[in-house]
Amino acid sequence: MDLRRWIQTIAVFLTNAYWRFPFTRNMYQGDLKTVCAPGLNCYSCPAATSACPLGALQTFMATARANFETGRLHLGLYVIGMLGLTGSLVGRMPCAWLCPFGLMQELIHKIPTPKFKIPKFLTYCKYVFLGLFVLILPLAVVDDFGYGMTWFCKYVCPAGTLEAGLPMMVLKPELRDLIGWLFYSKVVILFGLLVWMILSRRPFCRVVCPLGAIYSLFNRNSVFRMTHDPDKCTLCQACYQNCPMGVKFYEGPNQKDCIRCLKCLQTSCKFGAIGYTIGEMKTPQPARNHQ
Amino acid sequence: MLLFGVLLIIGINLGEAQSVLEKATELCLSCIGIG
Repeated sequence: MDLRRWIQTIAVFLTNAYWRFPFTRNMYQGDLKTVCAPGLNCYSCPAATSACPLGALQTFMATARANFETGRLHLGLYVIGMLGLTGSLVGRMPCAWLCPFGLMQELIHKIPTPKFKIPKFLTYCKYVFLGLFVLILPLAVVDDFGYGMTWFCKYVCPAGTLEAGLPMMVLKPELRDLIGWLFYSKVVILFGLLVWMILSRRPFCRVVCPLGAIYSLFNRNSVFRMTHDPDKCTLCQACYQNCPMGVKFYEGPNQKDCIRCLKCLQTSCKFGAIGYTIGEMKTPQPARNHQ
Repeated sequence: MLLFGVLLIIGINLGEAQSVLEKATELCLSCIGIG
């Protein structure tokens, strides 16, 4: 298991460290949930020990208008600041190294089946999910009391269904009487994405994830940046063939879908054309493991 | 980067971290497909 896989696994266990939930039959309710995990991890997952930044952001959008009227200036600056700080430092790197849902997609994709590429135009859909479901709809569509909904969590998020919805139905049987079309539709979405994950690489990350969409906006200007040396590049496309996000690195580094997994640098490129910089620091050429 | 750090600090001082905790420690019926 390589270093990245170890770090992903540790991140899963750290963000889901409450293992007493089968005995308490409840989710973690401690103070660690003040902190938003950098990856996608539903905070209603019974084992979750952190908050989901996407859920938190939607909640701030959904309550902004009601909060304004009561003089409470909660605009989600805490979450925006945390996401922006992370993105400014490392861009979309949490997707590759810290996100439990990203790890799950990589593992599921190992199931041997024919594999299919994802058309590039579909990768713009995640910005629609971000703009519409995370930002605009929670803010714009409110009830008589001025409160909106968490649209992405409620209608789309497969992480919520998998990590929270299904386990909670087991832990709290009394919830089963409340199941309706919404639950079944989310199960269908989850099932569809699980199948797609087997067939294509990281489809949720590339097509749907609003959190990845946020981080992707920072890729070109983050402190950690990938580099490409066109003088050494032979356009062999090995980077593209092995990229979990289908990025054609030879067309330019720091594209929006690059999750900085470093697979291209460490195992794909045999010509030393790929590297990285951390601010102004010179970084040594990483050892390449050609297996 | 500095701007986002400042936003984070302002958000903490406005009590938003506590607000995140309050929300994250309740079962989110929307997230699990019920509410």
